Amino acid sequence: MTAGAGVLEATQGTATEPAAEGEVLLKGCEAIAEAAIRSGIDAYFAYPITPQTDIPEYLAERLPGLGKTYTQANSEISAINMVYGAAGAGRRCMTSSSSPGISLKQEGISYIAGAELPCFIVNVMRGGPGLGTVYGSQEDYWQSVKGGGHGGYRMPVMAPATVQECADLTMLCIRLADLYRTPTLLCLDGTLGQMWENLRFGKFDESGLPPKDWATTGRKGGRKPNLISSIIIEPPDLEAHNRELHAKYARISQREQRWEEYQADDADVVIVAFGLAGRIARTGVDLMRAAGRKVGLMRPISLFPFPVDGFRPLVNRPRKWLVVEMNAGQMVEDVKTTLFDLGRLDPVKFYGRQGGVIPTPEEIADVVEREFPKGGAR
Amino acid sequence: MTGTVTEGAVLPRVEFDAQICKGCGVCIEACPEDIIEYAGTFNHRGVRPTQLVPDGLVRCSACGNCAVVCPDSAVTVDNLRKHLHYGKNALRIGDMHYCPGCDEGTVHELLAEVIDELGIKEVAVGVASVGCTVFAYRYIDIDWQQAAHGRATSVAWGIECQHPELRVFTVQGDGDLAGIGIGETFHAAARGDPTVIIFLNNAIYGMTGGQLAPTSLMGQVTSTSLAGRNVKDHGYPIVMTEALALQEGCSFAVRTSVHDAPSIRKTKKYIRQAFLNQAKNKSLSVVEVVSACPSGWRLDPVDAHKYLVEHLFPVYKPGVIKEPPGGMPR
Repeated sequence: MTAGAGVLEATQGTATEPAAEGEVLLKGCEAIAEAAIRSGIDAYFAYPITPQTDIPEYLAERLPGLGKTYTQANSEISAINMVYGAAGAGRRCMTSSSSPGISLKQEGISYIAGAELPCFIVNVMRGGPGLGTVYGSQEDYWQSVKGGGHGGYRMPVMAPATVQECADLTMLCIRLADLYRTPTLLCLDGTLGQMWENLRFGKFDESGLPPKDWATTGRKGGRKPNLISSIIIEPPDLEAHNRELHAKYARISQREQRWEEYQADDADVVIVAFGLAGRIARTGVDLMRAAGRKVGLMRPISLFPFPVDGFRPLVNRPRKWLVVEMNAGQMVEDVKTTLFDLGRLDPVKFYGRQGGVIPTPEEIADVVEREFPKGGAR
Repeated sequence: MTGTVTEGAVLPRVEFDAQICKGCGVCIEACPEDIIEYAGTFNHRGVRPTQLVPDGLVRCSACGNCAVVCPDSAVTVDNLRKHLHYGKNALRIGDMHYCPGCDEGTVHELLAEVIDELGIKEVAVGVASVGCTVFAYRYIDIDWQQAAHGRATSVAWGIECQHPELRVFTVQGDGDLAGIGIGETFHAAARGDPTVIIFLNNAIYGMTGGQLAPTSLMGQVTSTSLAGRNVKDHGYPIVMTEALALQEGCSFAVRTSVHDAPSIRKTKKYIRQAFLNQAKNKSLSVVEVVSACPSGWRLDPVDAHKYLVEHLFPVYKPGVIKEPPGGMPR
């Protein structure tokens, strides 16, 4: 019996909160790894980097015993290209890294997007640019949702705020990858990756996933050859291919938006924050509500597609908006664009901490008071 | 390359496909009877295709050299006396984009023949890398994956770790294998991946128009080493296959060429042995084919093959570099 499996068999609790029946105590990275196993991944391709190394360690222990593949590659670049090969051969596969390693994978992700291969990628974000720090941050929002690699592709990006969501969104990402033949990205900050919480594993939804009859499994029975490729030299052909890709992204945008709205309905000030910043802002909302201020939260869970539909009910009257991120202001651009597209010119302020510094709920409450004084005209 | 044909006449049957011919002239050079010439008219490519001289058939010994050396598989020879057939294999499809006289076409023909003759076309999966080989999937009628520049062996491992029954091979140039992908290449050897690497070393970046490559020779003039390669600016050419052979996970390593009919026949044997070794030893097999790049070298195709023998062989010596345990596969 492996240690990982042992952990899962026991029903445990945190120091402050006893676990309910069926719950387990895991850290964010481990929850992702276990959820990936429960989603039926066939192969995982690794390269160590802090703060995501708990994922390869967990899977190195578990996968071989399940008859699945664990390969530690010689680099992040090699790992993502092994994903390309295995995904192209029709298998459900995964890689993970942290910010500098995700930068290295971008070329491969672009090829995977171009060749329309399903795979699951995890970025446990650390502070940057450059080698930066191993402490958690959200400085890769742009890289995650605006393409990252070359060529203008998009991919579903999910941002958990709890260890429970780490598991749930892993299962969702792996499903969406197969459903849309696309890479998917789970994007969390390093702090959440290292955070212990109780969670309950759901069941992976296999329903309605298309067959992988395009895979390079050898042309047995004389079937027509299959080709996995992203090279389309003739401009009209590539334009047609890209139009199909973007039609797919439009379908994804329509169907796969996810968000959490918290006390935003009657709020005069709505905080927009994702991931850990969203979770902290939620506590900040409670503080401010207790102090008598009508403040709410809109927490995007899908970063691509950006949850425009979540904003629709909130643009029925003028409100004030505060975007809180653990970066210098990235998602705030999408919030402004969304509000503008929905016909609103409400004031949008930004507050960010950088380099691995985590804001506190009190800090966020102070910022709301400073930017939008109660009864003030700012 | 060989097969039985119906006995009909004493004279051989020789056909030159004037539409496919790129006029490189290597068949003229390879003919021992001196009975091949350029036609007086131009084909749709704007070149004069080759043909037999008048009464050439009478002097033809049906050795098949012209068919064997044609990089575009445009020549067919039926030796009706010995029941031998030389020409394009059924798995070799499509007109190739390669320049006239490029050795890559010859290697594709050999790969198609070996895959066909070993009966592995239903389990063979090729990985085409970036460089001139990027379109390799257009020319052999099997499953293919096209890999990012330098990453072919990683992609190959991704396939074969999931499907051990598949016979995975890569076709890689020197920029791909020895430049940008050198890390991937060495780790494939270190892991002992059951991949067959066909390494086309022409000492230049061909597809981008002839720039200095990791394997370019000392003194070699390229579009980015106009005064010739020198140590101060460019360092030394890298010798890959011997280095790969040092790794425990590489069980078979040879260096060969396809510059004339005998070397082509030998290369076919090596490629066959590499696939046999793949099945038997489940570890890395490397076939380096020292190749001519007439366009990149700014040489006539026939002169390019002479340059290859005179200048590349002293640095990249042909021969068996590492025999698998138990001797060469049969």
